[in-house]
Amino acid sequence: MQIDAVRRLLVVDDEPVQCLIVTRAMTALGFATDSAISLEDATSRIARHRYDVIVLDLSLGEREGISLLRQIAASPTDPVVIFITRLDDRVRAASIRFATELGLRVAGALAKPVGPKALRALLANPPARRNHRRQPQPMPPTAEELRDALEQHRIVTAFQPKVTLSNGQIVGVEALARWRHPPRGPVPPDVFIRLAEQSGLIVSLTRRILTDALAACRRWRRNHPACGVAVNISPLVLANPDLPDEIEAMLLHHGLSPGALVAEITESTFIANPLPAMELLTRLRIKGIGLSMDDFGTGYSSLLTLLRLPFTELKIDRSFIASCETDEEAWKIIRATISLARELGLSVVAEGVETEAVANRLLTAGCQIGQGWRFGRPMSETALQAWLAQHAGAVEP
Amino acid sequence: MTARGDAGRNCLISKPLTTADAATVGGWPLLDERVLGLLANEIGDDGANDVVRLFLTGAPRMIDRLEQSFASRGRVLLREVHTLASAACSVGLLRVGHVAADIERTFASAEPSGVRLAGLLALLHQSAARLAEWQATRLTAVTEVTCPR
Repeated sequence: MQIDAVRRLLVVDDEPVQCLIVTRAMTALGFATDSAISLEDATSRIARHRYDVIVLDLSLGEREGISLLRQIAASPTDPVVIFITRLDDRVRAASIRFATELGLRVAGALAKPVGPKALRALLANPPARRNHRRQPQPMPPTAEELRDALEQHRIVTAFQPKVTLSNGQIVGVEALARWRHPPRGPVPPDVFIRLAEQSGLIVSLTRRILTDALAACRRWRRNHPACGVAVNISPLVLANPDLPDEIEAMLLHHGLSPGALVAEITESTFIANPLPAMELLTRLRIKGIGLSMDDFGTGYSSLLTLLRLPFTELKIDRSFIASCETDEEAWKIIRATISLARELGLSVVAEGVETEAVANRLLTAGCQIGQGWRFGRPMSETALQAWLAQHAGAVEP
Repeated sequence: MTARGDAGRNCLISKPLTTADAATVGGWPLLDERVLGLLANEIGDDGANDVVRLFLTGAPRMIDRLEQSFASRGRVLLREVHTLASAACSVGLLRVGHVAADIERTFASAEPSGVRLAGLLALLHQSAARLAEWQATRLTAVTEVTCPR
């Protein structure tokens, strides 16, 4: 005989009437229920029991219920979390984002007083379990391993197309560094790029990717003469005053015009001395190289940097695109960014487009270009050539 | 729900509402029975009855805490007002819920005057008495109610 495990719910609310309403409603749904009217009580219960659902009031007297989230995230179960609060929509949205960042499964946030019907509706479709939560993180690679990987050509260049959202025509390709580390497997780019920046290897890494990208671009431009390549340039590389001339020489070496290259600048690293960077990037632009502000909306002083530098393109960070279907505020920021880009006369590219629905929504909002799995994942040069052949004739003039 | 809930009634003497909040209560009823009807639909008559009884049982302590917090003001008062707003709306006492929510909302910019707090207390007395009287009435089925926030 199979016995279904009883689901257990904890409601954390300093208001006993609301606690009773929730526990009664959930008991009727077959839950074993507990209630806690203080943070300390809740902490103690979470340490002792495994909960399937936690209904959490964001205001617990003089304490904030949100401070319980880290403990929930560290608990051995993966409970569905529902926020209840009388605070405004922005606080609710921020709490959901924070909990999601912690890896928690958040079903939603309800305005108090909370009725059982609304709770049941949220629990009808709980978020899927996140298996990756609390998985042990592998040891990060060392600078020595990165240096070896560069010397032994284990860092390779992948290519991802950028296309028009209206008809899927290719308008360019972004070159992306990838590191397959035996036996670790793929090392996430944000991990090894940060390591490269910290260890000074970023200059070698950038040179490697630039060389590969320009060589590949030269090859695909035989059949797709208008398709350029974009390469990420770390702000730390901008300290080298010879960089514009070096890049110009590389373009000449590969028989490419400056317009074939777009330098994508991200401000993940603070530009300690912005004047040389301003000079260097302006020199690149004067030479005819495109300048793209990567990951717009993240990092340091993005608006000020937009003002200072002659960008030709602005890329909306994927984190906004990823949440635009569920987070209306993310969508408002996207719309404002598109409007800003248009005001400044910049091309605007949406990164991380994964679905047709998002692509259509972006297009309706005035975004012309998209990049993401919806159109093509990062791929080898060989795969890119095949991809381009499939899209033959689709290159924008 | 027919059982009469007497818990907490003896100390809930209806007091006249001061004029301080007369202009702020808008159209919110003292007791919106539809909230309780909806609650009974969802957790049963007994459940709704227990919720009302809990509110009424706790009301004297809530009143005491409110009175004490009037003197200390600050976050203690804010917490009590916050709790009252939530609890009152849960049992359909929308007028007191609205006044408490309004005091809470404007707390950061202007702590409420003594007159206003006295008005809140009087309204809570009146509301709780009305709720206690209601306990014997029959619930009516409704589908949706908007509560003040």
